[in-house]
Amino acid sequence: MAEARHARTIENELKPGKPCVNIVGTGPYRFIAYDKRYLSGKSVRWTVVRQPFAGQPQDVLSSYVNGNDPVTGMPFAQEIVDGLTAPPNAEESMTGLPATRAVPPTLIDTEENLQELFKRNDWTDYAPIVLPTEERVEAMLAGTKRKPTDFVSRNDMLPGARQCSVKNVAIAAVMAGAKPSMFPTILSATASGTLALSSVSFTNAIFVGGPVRNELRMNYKVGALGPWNETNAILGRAFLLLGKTATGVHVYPTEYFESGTSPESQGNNLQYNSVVTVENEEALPPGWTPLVQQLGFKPGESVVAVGSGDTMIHSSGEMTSYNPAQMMVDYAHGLAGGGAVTIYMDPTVARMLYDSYGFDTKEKLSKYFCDNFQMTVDQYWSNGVHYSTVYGLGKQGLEPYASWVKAFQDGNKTMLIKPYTNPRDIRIVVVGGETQSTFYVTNFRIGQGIKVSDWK
Amino acid sequence: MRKRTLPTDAALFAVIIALSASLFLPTIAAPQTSRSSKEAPRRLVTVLNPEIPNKIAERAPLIPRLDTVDGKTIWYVSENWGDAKSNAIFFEELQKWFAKNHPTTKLVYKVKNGAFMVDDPGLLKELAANADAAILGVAG
Repeated sequence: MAEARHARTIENELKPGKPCVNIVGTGPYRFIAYDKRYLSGKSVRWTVVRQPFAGQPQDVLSSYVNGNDPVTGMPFAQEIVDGLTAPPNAEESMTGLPATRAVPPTLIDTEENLQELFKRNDWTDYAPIVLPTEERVEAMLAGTKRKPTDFVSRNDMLPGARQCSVKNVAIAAVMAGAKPSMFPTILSATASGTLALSSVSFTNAIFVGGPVRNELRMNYKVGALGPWNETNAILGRAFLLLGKTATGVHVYPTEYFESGTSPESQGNNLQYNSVVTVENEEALPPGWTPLVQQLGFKPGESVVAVGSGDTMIHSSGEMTSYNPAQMMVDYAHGLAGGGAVTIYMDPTVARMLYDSYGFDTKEKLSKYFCDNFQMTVDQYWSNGVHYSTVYGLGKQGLEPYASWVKAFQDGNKTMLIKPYTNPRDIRIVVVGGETQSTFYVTNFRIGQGIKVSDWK
Repeated sequence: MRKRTLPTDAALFAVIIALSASLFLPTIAAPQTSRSSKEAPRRLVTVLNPEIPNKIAERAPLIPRLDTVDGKTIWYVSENWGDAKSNAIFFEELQKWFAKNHPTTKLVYKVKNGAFMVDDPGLLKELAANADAAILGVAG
């Protein structure tokens, strides 16, 4: 939605404001169309360009400019001219608050019909939920000393800005099948982050560390990243259901949307459980600090940190004599990019790195990763994620990106660069049952940690 | 087997309220209440609505448009989305179209600083001073 905001700034906040037309692909168009029609009501004129856009040759891009807007069917370039010159219509001239749709506090029907209603409104993961009766929600609220009206988080994703209270989280927790003892952890996750949703196929990564792991009997040993533990499963489900209800990513079917789905072209199956991961702190090699403490918390503090990314690459087989640290670097070339990496490794891999390769801290491994990961500037800037997020920084003169932009523009495309510049962006989580020496390399960026005790 | 009970007056009242409310909720899928007349009425359940009302922003009208693009300076501001090459080629093709259809329009290519999602106040200030209108793109 950044593009809509930029357009509004040009129209409404610049002095003097300037007429503006926004060129968007079909993904963000869905955002903007919905936003304009139902929410902020601030007018934006747009023209839709065909996708794919990035990486297309000249003849294809020429056909886009000289062809038609795929949504309106109007000639694309002429639509830009019309957007800048045609007088605003009645809707585009409206002021004041648009009409809002009432949200009743309760819903009444048979259990069967309510299950169906929740499903049809995309408030579930399409498996049956526990219906959030007042009694069940009250019981969930007993799991925290916080007031039901306390603010937990705000989500600005569609459909509009929403402030999520403790009671809203309790409703989702009940729906997911949570017990009151799990509620502070679910609240902490909600306070740490909101459901990752964009025109790209993100997923969340929920990290849990500290004593709460054992208090809630979470799994951080054999099969910890699989469907083998009640709390791990319910925490991820509660986060998803909250994202689909209270924190607001659901979009209602309109003339712009075929159904109440996300704006991603493919989506991400990892969203079902939000990649709940619990560190096996007891199995860390000597000198390896639990992630909780790397995030700035004290020993004995329970913490939840929510991050996002989209890709997990598994090493699949047992480690061989090949240096596992170098193998992680090699595997990371398959990630979509984004500047951060989180590695989930079995304790046996951590032990091997410690015993045989001299990595006596996590920090050394993170630095090794940054020092040894290389790619050409051509590979770097050909990645749409890097171009969309970092190219402007290079253009602005910020190093090292500025040198990488210059090398690309000068045609020195085979120049090798080390794109991971900050070892703190390379996080290590030790998790698993010590029965197989495997690891995952992911592009998850772990977010802000939240103390569970703050939500008890 | 579950015991089925007749609805109370309060429950019937609640059904009427719910059905009335549904008339004002065209975008929420209405509960399906179809039931054979031979079936006994089933027990009604009251649940809390998981949805939160949106915060609606005040509308701002479009500002007046240009009378024509001919003779005007229009900045094309690239948002840094996609890849550098495609954006540059796309602009080149758009420039060709304007040269053919509106030859007196001056189309200027600008690339904003920072990632696509962040503002570039410096560029916008220049735009306000030097451009008659803006084309913002491409966002994918």
